[in-house]
Amino acid sequence: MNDKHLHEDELDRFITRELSRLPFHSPSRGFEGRVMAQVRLPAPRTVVALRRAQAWALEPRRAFALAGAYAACAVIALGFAVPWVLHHSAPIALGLDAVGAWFVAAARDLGMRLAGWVLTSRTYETLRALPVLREHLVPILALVTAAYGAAAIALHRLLKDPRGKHVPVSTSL
Amino acid sequence: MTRAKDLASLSDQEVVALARAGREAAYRELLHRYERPVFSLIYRMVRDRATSEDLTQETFIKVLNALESYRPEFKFSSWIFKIANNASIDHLRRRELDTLSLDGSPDARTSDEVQATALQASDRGPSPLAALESRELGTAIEQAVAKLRPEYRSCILLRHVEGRAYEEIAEALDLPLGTVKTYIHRARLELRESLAHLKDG
Repeated sequence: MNDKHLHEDELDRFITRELSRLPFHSPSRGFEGRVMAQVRLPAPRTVVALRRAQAWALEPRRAFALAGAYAACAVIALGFAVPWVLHHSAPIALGLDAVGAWFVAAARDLGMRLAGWVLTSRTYETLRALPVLREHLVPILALVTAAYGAAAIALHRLLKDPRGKHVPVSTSL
Repeated sequence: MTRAKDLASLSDQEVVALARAGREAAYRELLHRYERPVFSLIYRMVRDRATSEDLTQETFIKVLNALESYRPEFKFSSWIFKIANNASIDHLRRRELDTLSLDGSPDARTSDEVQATALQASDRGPSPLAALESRELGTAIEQAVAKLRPEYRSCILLRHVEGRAYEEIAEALDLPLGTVKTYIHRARLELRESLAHLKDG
């Protein structure tokens, strides 16, 4: 190998080394957010399947067919259900009675427990011990009623659109 | 649920599969993996920071919105570099920027813009003198690369800056393998001529 070739090989190695040392450049801050703002994320597979089924079913002829099939199923089911209920009315009534009685007993038990818990609580004891004169009762009741009224109005305003008008929302990036 | 930390250990194909299933974190992971390489490639191709940002953003939006059409038998990196390279070449053709200014973007109009768009070399040396030499060397390399024809430039950047295999470059640039090897060989010859004075010095 002559000197010229040696020199060229050295230069090649030098160029390769220096190229591999070139730094990476980065885009400015917020780049990721700017990109993600314009990326359409696919919907989860279950949502896609549901939408497809919806689109399939909403095609007019299929929709009519589906509605007809649904109505037919309902009529047939009703046709079987009514005679069955009439035939088994006695045991059904007995079963309903039992379920109803159980619910009433459970509700009464719950009510009694709640009342017992309130009556034995310290808060109730403290309130009962407060010296309330008969002439104070009316202003206190009026105050409580006014507070409830104010709270109801505040809640109504909170849940309503601001001033009942359309408020434009700015979507700055 | 796969967390961002776990995503880093997955292959590109696995991350793409998660992104296709609607996982936003997978999209962000692909962005993290490729934003610097793609931006660097485009920046070295078009030599203008603002344009590079726009083209990089365009590339990512195109890629991430078309993940459904990505075929896993190809490398994801080849696909994204192909789109980035096409975006750069299209821009250069539009602007007729086959030869680029060495001192700053041809889009720059004021002296501030020229300075801002000039290529920045990295500061690698420990001493001020070494830093100066290193910066000068980096700038000289960048300038020599900028003088290359766009096709040569993308080949040499993908090969030596990104460290991609010839086959991957051929796939990314839609070129026959032989053409890629020829382009890289010619690019090296041109770089050798441009940089000979540095080695002598």
